[in-house]
Amino acid sequence: MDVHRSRFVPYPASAISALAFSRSSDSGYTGPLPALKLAIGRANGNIEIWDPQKGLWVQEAILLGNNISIDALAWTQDPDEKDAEGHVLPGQQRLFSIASSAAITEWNLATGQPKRRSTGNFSEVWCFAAQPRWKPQKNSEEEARAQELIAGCGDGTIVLLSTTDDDLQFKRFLARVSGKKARCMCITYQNRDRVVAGFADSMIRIYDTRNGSLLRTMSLGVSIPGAPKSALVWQVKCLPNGDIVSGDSNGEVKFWDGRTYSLVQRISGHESDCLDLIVSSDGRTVMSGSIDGRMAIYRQSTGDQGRKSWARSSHRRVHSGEVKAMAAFDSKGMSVVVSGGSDLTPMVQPLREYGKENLRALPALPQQPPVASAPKARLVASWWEKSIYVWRITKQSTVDSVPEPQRPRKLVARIGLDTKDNIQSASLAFDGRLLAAATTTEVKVFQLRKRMELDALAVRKLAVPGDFATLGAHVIEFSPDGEWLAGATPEGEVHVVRITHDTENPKHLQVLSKAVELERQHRSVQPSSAFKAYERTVNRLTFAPDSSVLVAADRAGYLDSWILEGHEDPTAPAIDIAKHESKVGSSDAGSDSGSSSDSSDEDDSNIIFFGQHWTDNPAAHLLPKLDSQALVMTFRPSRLRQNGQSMVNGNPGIHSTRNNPHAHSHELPRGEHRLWVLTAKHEMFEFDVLAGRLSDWSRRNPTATLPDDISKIRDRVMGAVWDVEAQRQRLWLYGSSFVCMLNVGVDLADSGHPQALTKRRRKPKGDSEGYESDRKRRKLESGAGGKVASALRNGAPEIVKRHEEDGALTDVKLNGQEKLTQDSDNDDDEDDERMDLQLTRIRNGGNDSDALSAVAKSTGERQWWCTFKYRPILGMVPLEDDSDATDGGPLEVVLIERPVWDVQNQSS
Amino acid sequence: MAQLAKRDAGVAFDGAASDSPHASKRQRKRNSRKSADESASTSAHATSEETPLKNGTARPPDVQELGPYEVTPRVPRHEPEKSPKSQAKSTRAVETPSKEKGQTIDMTMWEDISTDNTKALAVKTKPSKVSETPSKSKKAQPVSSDWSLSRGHGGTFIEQDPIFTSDNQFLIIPTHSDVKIFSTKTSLLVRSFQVDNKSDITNCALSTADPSRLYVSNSRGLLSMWDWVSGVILRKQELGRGVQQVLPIHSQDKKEIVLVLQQSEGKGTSAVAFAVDTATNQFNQLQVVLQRNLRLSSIQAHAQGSILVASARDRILVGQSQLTADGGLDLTYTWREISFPGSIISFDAQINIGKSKTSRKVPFLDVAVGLQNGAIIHYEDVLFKLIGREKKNLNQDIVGRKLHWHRTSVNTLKWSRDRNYLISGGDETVLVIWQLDTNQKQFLPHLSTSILGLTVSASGSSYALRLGDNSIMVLSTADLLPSTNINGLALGDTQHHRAPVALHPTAENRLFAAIPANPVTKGSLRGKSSTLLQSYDLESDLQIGRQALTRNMTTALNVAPSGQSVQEPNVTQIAVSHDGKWLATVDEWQPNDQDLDARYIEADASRDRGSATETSLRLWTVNDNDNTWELVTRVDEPHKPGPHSILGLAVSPTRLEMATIGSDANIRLWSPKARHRNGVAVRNSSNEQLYTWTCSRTIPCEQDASGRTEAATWAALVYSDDGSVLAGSWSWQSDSTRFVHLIDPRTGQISLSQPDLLHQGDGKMEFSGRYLVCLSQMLTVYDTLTSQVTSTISLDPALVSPQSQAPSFLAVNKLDGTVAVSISRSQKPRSTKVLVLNISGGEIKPLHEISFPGTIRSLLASTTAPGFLIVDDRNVLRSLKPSGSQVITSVISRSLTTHEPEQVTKGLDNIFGRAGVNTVAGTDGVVEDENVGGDVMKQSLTNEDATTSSRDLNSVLRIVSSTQAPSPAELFQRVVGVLAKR
Repeated sequence: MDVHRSRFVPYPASAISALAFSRSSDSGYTGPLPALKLAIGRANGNIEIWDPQKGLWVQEAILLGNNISIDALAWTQDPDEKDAEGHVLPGQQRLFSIASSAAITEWNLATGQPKRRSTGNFSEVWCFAAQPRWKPQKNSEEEARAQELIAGCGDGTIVLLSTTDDDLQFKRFLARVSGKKARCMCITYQNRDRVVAGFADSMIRIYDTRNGSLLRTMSLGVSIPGAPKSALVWQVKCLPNGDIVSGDSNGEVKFWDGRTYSLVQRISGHESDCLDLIVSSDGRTVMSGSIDGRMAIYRQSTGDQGRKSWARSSHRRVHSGEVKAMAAFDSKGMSVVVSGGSDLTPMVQPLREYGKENLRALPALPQQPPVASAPKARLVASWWEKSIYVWRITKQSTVDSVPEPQRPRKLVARIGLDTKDNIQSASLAFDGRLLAAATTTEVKVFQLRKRMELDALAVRKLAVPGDFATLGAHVIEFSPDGEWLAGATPEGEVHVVRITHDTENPKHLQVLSKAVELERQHRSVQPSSAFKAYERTVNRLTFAPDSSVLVAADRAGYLDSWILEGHEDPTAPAIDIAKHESKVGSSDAGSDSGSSSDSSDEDDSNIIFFGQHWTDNPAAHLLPKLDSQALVMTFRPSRLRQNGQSMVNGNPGIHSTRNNPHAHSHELPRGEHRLWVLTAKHEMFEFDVLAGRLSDWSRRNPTATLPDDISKIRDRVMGAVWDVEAQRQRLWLYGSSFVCMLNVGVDLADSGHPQALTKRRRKPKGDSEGYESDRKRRKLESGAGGKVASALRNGAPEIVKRHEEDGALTDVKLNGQEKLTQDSDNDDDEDDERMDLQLTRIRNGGNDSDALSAVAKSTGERQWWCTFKYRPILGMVPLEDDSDATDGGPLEVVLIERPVWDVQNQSS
Repeated sequence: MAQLAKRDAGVAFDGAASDSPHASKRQRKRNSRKSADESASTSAHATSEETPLKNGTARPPDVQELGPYEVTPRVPRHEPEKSPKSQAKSTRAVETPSKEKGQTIDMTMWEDISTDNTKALAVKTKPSKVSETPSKSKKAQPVSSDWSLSRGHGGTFIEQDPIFTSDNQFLIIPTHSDVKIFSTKTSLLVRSFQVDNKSDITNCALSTADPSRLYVSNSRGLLSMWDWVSGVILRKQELGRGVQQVLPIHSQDKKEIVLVLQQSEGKGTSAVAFAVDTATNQFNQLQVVLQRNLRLSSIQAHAQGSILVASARDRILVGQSQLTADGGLDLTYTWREISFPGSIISFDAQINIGKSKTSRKVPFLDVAVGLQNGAIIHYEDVLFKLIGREKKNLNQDIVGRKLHWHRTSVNTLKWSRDRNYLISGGDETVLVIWQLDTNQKQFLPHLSTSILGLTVSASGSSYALRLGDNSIMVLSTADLLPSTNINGLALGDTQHHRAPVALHPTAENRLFAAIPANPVTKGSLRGKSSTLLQSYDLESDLQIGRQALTRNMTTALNVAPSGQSVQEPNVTQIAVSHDGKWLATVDEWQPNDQDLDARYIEADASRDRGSATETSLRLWTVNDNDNTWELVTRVDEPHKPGPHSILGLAVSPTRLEMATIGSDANIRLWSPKARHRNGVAVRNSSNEQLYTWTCSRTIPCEQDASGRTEAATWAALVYSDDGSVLAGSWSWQSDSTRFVHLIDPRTGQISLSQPDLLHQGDGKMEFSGRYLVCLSQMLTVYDTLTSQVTSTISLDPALVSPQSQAPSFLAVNKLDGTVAVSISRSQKPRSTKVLVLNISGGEIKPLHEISFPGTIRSLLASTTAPGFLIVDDRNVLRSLKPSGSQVITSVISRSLTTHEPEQVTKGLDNIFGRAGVNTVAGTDGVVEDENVGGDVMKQSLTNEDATTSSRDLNSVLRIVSSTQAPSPAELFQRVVGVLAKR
């Protein structure tokens, strides 16, 4: 593989300014637990939604902002409801943000757009907090109430807002503190009725939200010598028992009694400002982060007289810049602290297992690579904000062949979009003639042409049919032949347009004026989901190599697939609109077969482009729901892809008749269309899309056959590049820190391996049990990095032994999660599985000397390979040799790195 | 007789150097010693049989006349009359010194070894037929052979935290050989007692039952119990194996339980409990409390012994037992063990038996552990949590609290008495006080050197710090000001070269030593270069002053950006001028090898790299106001630059002149020159002329250097007694013949070059009168007048180079001309032999030999009295003196009482009436007639000379502390001696 290792893409990244988990703990939930999400707000106004579940840490979505820094984030959840059968339906989760303006914004998670803003007669909002969730009392028959929001403003105003009825409305002013330094810096709920607010005049004030009365004022007191006289209260938090913790600009962490509102203890936690605090759900651990990048952990201990006191137990420099924001989730299975700051990288630290587990840096770059390539034209495009950059990569040639050295790369186009929002997605056609870009509200398509005299490309904007252009898209994708452009709208619909040569000006391309909406299968969302619309948003689209199959995947893991009926017939009308059979009354059964009978949509016209028509995949319902969203979804390229069509092309044989005015072939694409999928849980599947089943390869190679060294990688896969030649079928996968190769032309494990086959049978496809092995491997961890090697542990004892009277030694288990392990019912299976894996590894690798690769015995070919040499990776896209299209040449890719120091230098 | 002739020759030589005032004195000393021999002869008789006469190569015919070489008698002469008295006295009262007693033990020890070693004497002896020498012939021996080695002063404090007595009045600090008790009020030694001579003290601990009782453990397994108030040993118990630590843990009903940490078979350690009956002092072994295959480093007891906390390399062991209903201690412990990532350097535990609401039985045990990487880990209530773990109570997680400030290992860590603070110290020379509740740290920076040990007094009012420069400092906790300072001699580790030490030529008992800042610290982070000058009073065992001689990095962070430690210059030579007013030092600084890499290519020889070495000669003058040395002149690169470019430094005994011998085969003479500016003499504020030192002469010895590219590796340089001859000699690696050049320093002429006096390698030369004594692989005496080698003896090859890497020493006492030679074995077992020789007449006559294990750092001739000073590798100072010279008046008093009572009146006349006479008698250089016998009057008269004139009653009565005080009888003798001299 030839790698163009590039660092020239100036992709900007911005600092983390806010963090919020959708809930801080699992406790207090009686009904089904909603999925846990983490929202990360950045200085450029973007909000990233992460799925931290079970230590996966997948970035699911980026809600694009408009360059105003997100100052704080808060989640609420609407009250639970009961359906007719008495099942508890969890309320929907809602996300709010403030961004140094006098407004609170609610976000539409599904579309990624701001939903509504609430402004009022108050100045810029500095802090806000959501009321604790209402909990049903045993005795009272009280109605469930929605959470309120409380916001502290720069002029000392405290505002109460209501979120009832899926709305956001100003309720009333709670207080208005006057004074020069009366800025409300931080605010939190002590319980559902009391609010603790910290101010810039080194005061902490307690209010009752019911009547707005000021209950108590607490002063930080005399500051340490040399510090300014009044300290800023940077953060206040409440412990579960009501006690208050504050962090101030002197670096001190103070503990206040929650009943008497008096100072209990002050600890000098940092040498610089303590910016943020988190508390654990049991109220016995507090962590603070400071402006110098250190994070300290405090633990409560019970002293001799039963006195409870806090002590700073450890500290560590976690961030290279400041620690701006922290968020914690502390529950039984998972107990982590996420922190972020100016060094862009979210750091995940264990909370309960602090010191025993590693911290983990999450990728700072987006999960979906903002990079595309036109391999044929050797173009690489990258986009951010409102601009798209296109480079041409020169073929790296041997020294003597080229008389004068060419520049290795050349910026050939720079397109600034005149749109309201930032670019969500863009796509380059395979031959580099087309470029499409989408925001949440607009889709634009450009034609790129080589200019004769110049290196730069000529860019021509194409007219896009109205609804397709204005609906916007989350994902946009050209088909490999460049004739189709598919876009998934924020509302979750999939639209396709046909692109053809302009009849008047053959050099020009045009988008046919009619877009077709492809119906997605109606699926009942799990009733327990608290992110209904969000989960049904399509976030992956992919065409088969022959452009005849389109597959869309949504965040819940559902796959929708459509196929292109008929053959391209240039003689047929470009757009032929056929009314739906039922309305027309035609009894042509043939035309009926393709359209989905269960489609209940009101828009029921068939649009036929050049004799071709998109219709539902008859086997679509056989495709299972994936266990999690698909991160990599790609068709296995076939070298024989043109076989089926070549005969028919130019000989359509079907003509419109009177009875059948919109005649078109109903021939389905033939051949095997194998869709290779890697989900967020790193489950590996390959579907035969048209047959609606797992491919033979996938049957032989379940996820468990993934080499250990690849399956233990914690960073998630971002994308894939195929390297298919006559003799090899390799899939190169990459994440933000790794590049690995799977030889999918042969079996990963030995095919004669009986256990592997039995294992496959035991695993129902699409179910989450396939994830079991991965989960088990990690279930002893609390969600951050792996266990710290005991030699590196500092502070936590490694072994505790007890000397028996007879001199024998017994080990006392120090593992705090013994209980959690006991509930696993199939431990034996796991053991078998591990043994299998080891066997596999032994068979494949044979020796451990080259631990990161394995060579199949039979072929002598590498089964897999993995490197961590390149990091952090923004994207990796393939190129093709433009001179000779014959195969045999090595795969050529552009690997775009974005080192943190580059990013920081640029942003500063 | 030939002997007479020889004597005449000696006189002639003395006469030739008549400006040397020591000549006559030396003569007189011989006489005084002669009478001492009479009494010693009887006791020496027995040993003289085993030690036949040995002799040099050229044995004079009249050797039969001389007494055989004899070993020092077992008991010093004055002992029989003193010891009963002193023992009777030493039963009570702190002030009473136990010196005599200790000395007795001391003497026997040294004697034992010397008799053991007589069979393997270094000096090859010929079988003698005159072993049965009549005692009369002893009279013919001119110099006393009755030498005694004094008790050791000083010494390095062992690795134990100082012990405060219960009333905070005293500090108990053991050295390797003695237990020393200092007063916290005056910082002075109050008492010291020696436990056992053959082995080292490993630990001591105060009894819990009786605060005046001290347990002392020993490396050979001796456990002794002392009453430290009176210094009386109560009980000795042989335990068989070496004891590492002794720890009284519980006392009840006149029965005390003592835990002893012992080496067990293999690599393990065992803790054995003993019961001690406090009434009868009986030891009773009870049972083994802990037997593990672990090297336990220390153990602590809490809650009357019911909780034991011990540390091994990387783990902490907590033992728990129950107190029985009647307050006794059940000795069956349940041990629990915690492993740590990293080695434990220090730990401390504190306990609180809670009276809390929760009526739980397990006490609150907090343990703080200092690790090697600088982290302190603090576990709260660890025992309860450990037990909880066993009961599968998973709520309590054993998580330590990490306090990380120290960069390197936490050498010591203690809880404050109120348990709210942790006090820690390390190599950063900063005392850190951690307030645990608020996480505030308080620092006491810039201590003189790294902190090694720390004790909090029982009341919590003071901290005692054991520092890396062999000193103890007591700080008040209220204001952190030092209230007590105890400084021992702090010579660094000079295993393979001689320590830079010098005795003050005029002031009595004043030792100057160039010391490193961290002589006691282990580990390589801190440099061991000698950078400081310590002036030390030998008699009172006190540091008088300390000042920097070169730049140093003691309290600063001495780590370069590359991570290496910053090198400090190293003082290699030190010398004091004959009048004690000038000090010369030579220091060398070598940059780190890595720093030089950029300047040299790999092919460059190490010699070229060595030219980056910076050598400077510094000359200092004494500032009388504050007794410090002021730098007057610094000469950069006095010789050709290179490593070890100055190989020797000598001062003229008669005039202000110094000589350096360089590796470039040059000798340079340095002399002061009055400083002038524009023709006007520069004077200081008190109108004294200021001087600067310049090189007055360069004496090249081309024939040595001709055709050589390499530098000399060894050299010796010495002035003769009268300063008229300078003897220098170089040794090159590639050359076998080695010349000794005799040079006239006034003209710079090489008057004689004599081969074969010194062998290759480290050689030493000293003048003793007309004789040049050369020590290399053999001992050669060369008569400079006749240009003949008068005597040569070869030495035990195992003790001299090349077999032995340890330095050998040669010293000549200018007062009586006795020569002391020390040779040591560097391989284990290390041992050293010190021989005292008399070479008057060119013959080597052994007077005394001692032998002891270990090596010595320096052997110096006393400048104000006969005898020698030995500094051993544990910084213990011992003086080797002829017994007679210790107090000259003791001879008088003895003779007064025994033989010639009529002399008393004369002597007293002399004391009270005729003080002026002595000036006449003192300078006439009368040679006594031996046959006349000890004319005491004459002796006392001739004892008067320039050096002793400063002695007066003040110096005798100036007793620094009660331990140094002599017994009343001895004091009386001294006073009489002083008065008699007048």
